[in-house]
Amino acid sequence: MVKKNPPPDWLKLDNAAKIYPAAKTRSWTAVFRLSITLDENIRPDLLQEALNKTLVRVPFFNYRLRRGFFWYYLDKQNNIPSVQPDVRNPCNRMLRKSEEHSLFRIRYYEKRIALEVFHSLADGTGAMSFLATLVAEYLRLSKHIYIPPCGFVLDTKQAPLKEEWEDSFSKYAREGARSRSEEKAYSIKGTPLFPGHITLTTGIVDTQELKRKANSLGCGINVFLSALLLQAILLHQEQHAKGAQKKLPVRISIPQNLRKYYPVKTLRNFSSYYNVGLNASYGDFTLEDIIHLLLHTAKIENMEPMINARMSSNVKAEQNRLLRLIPLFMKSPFLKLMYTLFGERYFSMALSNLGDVKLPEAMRRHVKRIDFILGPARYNAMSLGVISTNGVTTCNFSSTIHETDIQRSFFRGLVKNGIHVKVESNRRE
Amino acid sequence: MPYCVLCGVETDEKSCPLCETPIVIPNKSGNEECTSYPYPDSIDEIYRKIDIKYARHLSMLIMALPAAVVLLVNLISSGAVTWSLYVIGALICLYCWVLVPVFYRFKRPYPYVAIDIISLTGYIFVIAKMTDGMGWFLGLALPLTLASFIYVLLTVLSIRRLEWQPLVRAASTATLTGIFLMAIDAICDLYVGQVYLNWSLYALLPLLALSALFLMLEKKKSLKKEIKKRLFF
Repeated sequence: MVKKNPPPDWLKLDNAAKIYPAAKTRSWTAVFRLSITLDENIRPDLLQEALNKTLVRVPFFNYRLRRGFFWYYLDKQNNIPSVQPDVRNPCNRMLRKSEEHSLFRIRYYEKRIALEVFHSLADGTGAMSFLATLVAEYLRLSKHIYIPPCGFVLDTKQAPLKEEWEDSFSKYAREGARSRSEEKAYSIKGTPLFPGHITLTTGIVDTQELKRKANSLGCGINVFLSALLLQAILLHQEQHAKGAQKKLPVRISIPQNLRKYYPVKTLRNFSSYYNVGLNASYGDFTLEDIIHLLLHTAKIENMEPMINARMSSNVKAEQNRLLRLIPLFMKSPFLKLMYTLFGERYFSMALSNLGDVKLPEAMRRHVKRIDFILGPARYNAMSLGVISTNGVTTCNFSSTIHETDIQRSFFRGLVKNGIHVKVESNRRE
Repeated sequence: MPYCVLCGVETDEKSCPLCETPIVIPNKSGNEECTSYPYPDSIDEIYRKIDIKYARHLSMLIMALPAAVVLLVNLISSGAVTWSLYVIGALICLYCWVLVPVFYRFKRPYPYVAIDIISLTGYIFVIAKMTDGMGWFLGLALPLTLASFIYVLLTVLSIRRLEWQPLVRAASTATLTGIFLMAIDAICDLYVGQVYLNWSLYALLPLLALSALFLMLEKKKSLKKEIKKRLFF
């Protein structure tokens, strides 16, 4: 391998990544998880070997977070984290001393390889690329098959590309900025789980079946699932909300992959989001009404100028001279306070759909399914991660409360629409 | 393929993950364990601690910012630290009275009382020093704060005696309040010249009567019950 682009000794955090180190607490960090289930049990020794090779190709994943005088930054480290057995409560706090402050962890259980990532390092697409490359490398070692690099799978024989760790936000941000303030959204409440624990409820559905139903309603999978989720939260609000909470709008946050709009190769954060919802106090909304609302909002929010204006407002805030000049020890509590006050205030729940992951044919044959779990949010009780591959779509609810009303309404909604759902969870009786 | 009869979803678990309805498979015995769970048994344990250190830092920062601004303005305008000490002292008192009980954990409440009184005494001392008023500080303010300290300490002590009946604790608090008012009267009189014990007697007598009433009520259970019934809300 020719080392054309040696990875830098340190990296600035990208625009989206800056809030997460400040918002972290001793028991919470913004984490998400992607896992690929293969057709045979995982061998940890080969997985470790595959990880070592993948980190040569994607070196910035092995950086650690450090405090600078004005900002946090990513610092190169030589120790490679060890793969570890999976646990019943994944997506737990990152940056642990016992894990050498690593920003990601690789876990295995039976036929599954899971990657958990601190959000400051990468977004879903970047992490998917890392995991797909790791699994391709693992399959090459365990089955002695060649998996051609394409799509998410990177060529491990190729040198890392500089563009893969660039901060694309500042590159594409323009002058115009949109206000980020919105009305406070309804917050889902329930009996909290023991700290560090999480309820995972996964619904496995056939992608074609889901697509057919969504298309029959004049929308795509993402809008259809969003509509069902909004309906489930509305029902929760109707049954459980009291007083002023009853009048608050129900809103979900939908991330947008900005790579669709700009020619970038970055594997770091390059996503934005928009919030969409409705107010139950206006009257009853049918599923068709909600789909119309979502479709039209998506059409507006997915226009490049609208996306750019939202992205630019974040970049503008970050580039504020005064904010930049304040030392980190003063800035950090302020940013944490901002996150506490506004971070999760404008949406009831996040729904992130990574879409249909296209894998090389040689790899696809060995992949049963992919799961995408959004780790627990700091204040909101629940989130939903959706991902499809090989004709299988998984809807992963992660929750920090005991009650499963939302999950129940959501999956019952799918069943009522004639879609077969298989449900599993991390609960034990 | 086992299904939940209520949710209509397929599941391999013993009860539905959505509604906890038991999944009954007629041909299978109830003892058969699920062969494979989607997640292992092991738990990644982390114990959450309230980030008290961060909260302390943040609160200190919030207090330090206005103090620094006031100090700076004072230095620029007067060339010396003068009136800003009033503001800084008040901020320190505020921190001791409001934020110390929130962010610092002591097993018993007495250290909080001590911190409050010390900060108050210190603040009054600074005011006395700046206004050339050591006379009123030593003769009036210091004895009054000391009396307050003793009163609050004894009241907290009696309220915390949980083995005492609530009315007994109320009686002791009323008595202590009466004595405290008498002490204030005496200290003020002493500062002026001679101890007369004037107005405090008017407060002490009803408080002692109230105290006696409480003790009597505690003894007469039937009367206590009757009052409880009438005052129900």
